[in-house]
Amino acid sequence: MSAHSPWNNTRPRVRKSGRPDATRSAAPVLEALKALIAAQPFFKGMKEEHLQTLADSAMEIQFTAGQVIFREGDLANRFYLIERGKVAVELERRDDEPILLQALGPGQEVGWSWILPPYHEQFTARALEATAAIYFHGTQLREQCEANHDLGYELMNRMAVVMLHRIQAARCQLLACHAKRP
Amino acid sequence: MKTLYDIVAEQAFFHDLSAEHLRQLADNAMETWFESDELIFRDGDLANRFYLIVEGKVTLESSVSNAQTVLLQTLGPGDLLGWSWLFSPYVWLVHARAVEPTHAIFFYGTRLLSACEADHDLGYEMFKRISEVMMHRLQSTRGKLNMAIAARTVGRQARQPETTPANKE
Repeated sequence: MSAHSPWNNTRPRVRKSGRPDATRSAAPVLEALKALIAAQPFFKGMKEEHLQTLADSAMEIQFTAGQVIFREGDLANRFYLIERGKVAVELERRDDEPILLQALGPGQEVGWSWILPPYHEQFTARALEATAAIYFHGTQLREQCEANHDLGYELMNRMAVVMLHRIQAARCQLLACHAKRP
Repeated sequence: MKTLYDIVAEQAFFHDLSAEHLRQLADNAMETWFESDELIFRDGDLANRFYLIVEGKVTLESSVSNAQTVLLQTLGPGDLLGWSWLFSPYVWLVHARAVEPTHAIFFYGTRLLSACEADHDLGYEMFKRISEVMMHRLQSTRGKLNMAIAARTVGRQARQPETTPANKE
């Protein structure tokens, strides 16, 4: 794993002075993160051990209004759950304004391409306002899904629902285009 | 003479599944045939099944109005038809129609969904395969949407001179 991976930021920071309580002091933060994850409706019904696995691959993150969260074509190695704020899922167009496919809010999931080859983002995600989210390290979770199909089933199942909503949004826009046509 | 198990096992969609899972699928399957122009399922109907197309051609359509439908997708041999049996509220969201004489394998989705819930090895394999299909359908819908928006923009640009105030005068 790259030293620059945002995932590394979730590790408790050990001060150079090597204070003995450096790791212990991170424990409440990690517990709070796990509680936050367990409270997400998206993960409703998941087992304690799976919630722990998710928490071990997660960290909280903030985006400013207008910030690109990921861009179409990027390597898909993560997903997010929105805590606060609003995120646009956009279709990039050559020489033209992007098309807004969906605007997502608190509790909604962003990014599903991490779960399927070729592991490239299919859309661009952009924060429409100041947004707080939980970041999940998809690559790591994907390996755990392959090794543990109980976890794999739970996550694949939920990601398929997200894909279904994207497909429905794209079909709705397609139908609207045809309906408006003279 | 091929058995139903053989026909199920040779489907690319089920590539690499264990013999036990293939047996489970075959136990919930039967061969079926549709005539050209026959409706396979209708938007709003209960989604309790899916199909793999062996031969023929099927279209997925959506209604814009009573008079107009939009073609969303054309499916052929090897393609999966129907995923709404996996997702609450378990109703079809599109119409599926055979546009050629079509030979397909019918699968009893409701029973297979219970089997997936009980056996996450099977469930994981099924969701993984169906997600791949969904990704391809999403890409294809996206391509159509791009074209439709481009066509609309061209239409608007072509009409623009008639609607500008300068031209009205």
